Amino acid sequence: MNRRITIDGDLCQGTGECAALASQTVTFDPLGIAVVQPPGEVDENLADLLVRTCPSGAISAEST
Amino acid sequence: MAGAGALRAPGPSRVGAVATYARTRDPFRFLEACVARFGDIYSLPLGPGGTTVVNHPELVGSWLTDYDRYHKGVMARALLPALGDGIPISDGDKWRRNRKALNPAFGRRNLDGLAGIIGRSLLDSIQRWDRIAETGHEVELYRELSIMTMQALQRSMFSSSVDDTDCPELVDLFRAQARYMGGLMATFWAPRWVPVPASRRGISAVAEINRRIDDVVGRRRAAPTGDADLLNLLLDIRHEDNGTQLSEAELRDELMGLWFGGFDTTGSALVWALALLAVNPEAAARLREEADAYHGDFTSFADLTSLPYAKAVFDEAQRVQGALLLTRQALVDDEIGGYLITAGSQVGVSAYTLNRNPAVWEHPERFEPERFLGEQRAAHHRHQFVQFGAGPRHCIGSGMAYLEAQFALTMIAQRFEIVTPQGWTPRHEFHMSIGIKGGLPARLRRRKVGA
Repeated sequence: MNRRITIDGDLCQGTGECAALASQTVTFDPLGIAVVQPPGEVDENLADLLVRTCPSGAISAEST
Repeated sequence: MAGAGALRAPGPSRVGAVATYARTRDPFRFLEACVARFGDIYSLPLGPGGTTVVNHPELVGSWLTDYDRYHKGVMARALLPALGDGIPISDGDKWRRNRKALNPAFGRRNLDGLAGIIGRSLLDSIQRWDRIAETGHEVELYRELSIMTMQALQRSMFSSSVDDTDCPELVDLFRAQARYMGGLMATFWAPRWVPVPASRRGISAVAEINRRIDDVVGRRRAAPTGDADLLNLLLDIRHEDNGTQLSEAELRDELMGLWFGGFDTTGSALVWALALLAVNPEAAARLREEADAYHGDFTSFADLTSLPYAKAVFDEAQRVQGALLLTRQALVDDEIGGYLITAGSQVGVSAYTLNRNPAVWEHPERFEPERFLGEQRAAHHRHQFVQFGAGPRHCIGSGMAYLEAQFALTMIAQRFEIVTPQGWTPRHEFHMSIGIKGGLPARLRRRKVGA
């Protein structure tokens, strides 16, 4: 099952932890803030990992 | 999950470790000797249950990133008397709650607001460096760089509530604190009767820094300002669960952790960068080329995208600098590289040896910032470079460190050449971060305009 991830740009610290786990799903804007590439859906295990690993608490995941 | 019959990684006994340390007389040589004898995973008789040390990115994994199974643990807690219980060393619910509360202050958009403060502070410091260059005298640049770093950090934390003239004294206080922390870390495994090196001056320095924090917080509460500094951001924090502010003790501990972390780590990494540029003219020339092409005013985080070589220099300098031991404490039994990790024991990585592992880094003895650019950087293993940690406990101040470092390196490259004595090379010195033994003796040579 897939989940849709979203990144709160106000929280993102640009550490790149998410991109290391899901390079196809995340890119960065000029400030180094992570941005989800559409459609932003990933496997639920990866989504959980992204949420748990993000040091900024900027990532959330919801069922699609 | 630990497999049945797994054994602990090989390593020296307590007597063997003491003998090896006595022979090497240096923590870095000691770790190199352990890698040479036992390979990329070994155990040391450090702390309850010992410490398993890994030396390959493939072995740096969930133990560093899975906070449900590994906490920061006992080695970090040893620093409590010096650092307070802020997010660098707190654990469990307290760490989760306060990290969550502090996170917005360190978001890139907020840091963008601090970029101008940091940029202006660095430019002011550079004017002091101009005066040093005019004398033509050799100076100890580690100290000058520490003052520059302290001023930028102090202004970004407290802005108009502090005086720049305090910075040299603050540098001395934080250095005494760092040596005390190094002593606490070196003796965390020892019985309480073992004296902690550098504790007398360190305890006094910590008390003085806390007094200054209380003073600046008290003045800010009495006369609030609209400054976009970290103190105001922390004063505005509300815990998400019950809407309360940080308590006075939490505020003091978090400010202490941020102040120390922002000063010691960034300052020591920057001095390694300048030292390595001084003895690697090709890299220095490439940095000057990038710096000369930059026509910004050092006020925006977005400018950092124009300064990729400065970032690569900073990263490569940190690779050479390394770190002694980054540890976590297991909450459950586990297995790493086929070896048993018992609950309560520690797992760690020495960035000093990992960053010199020839199986991971080609010609690790060379200073090559290009490793951190383009395809070479993209080919790195996720855990090849762990200078800022990884996972949920990734250093909260890393964005601020890059901001300060890229700006400072660019400004310095635009104006000066660093000239060290003939034949001089930097040597590692452990205090808390890794400094340079004897500092950085150098002359600042003013570059000719258009050169």
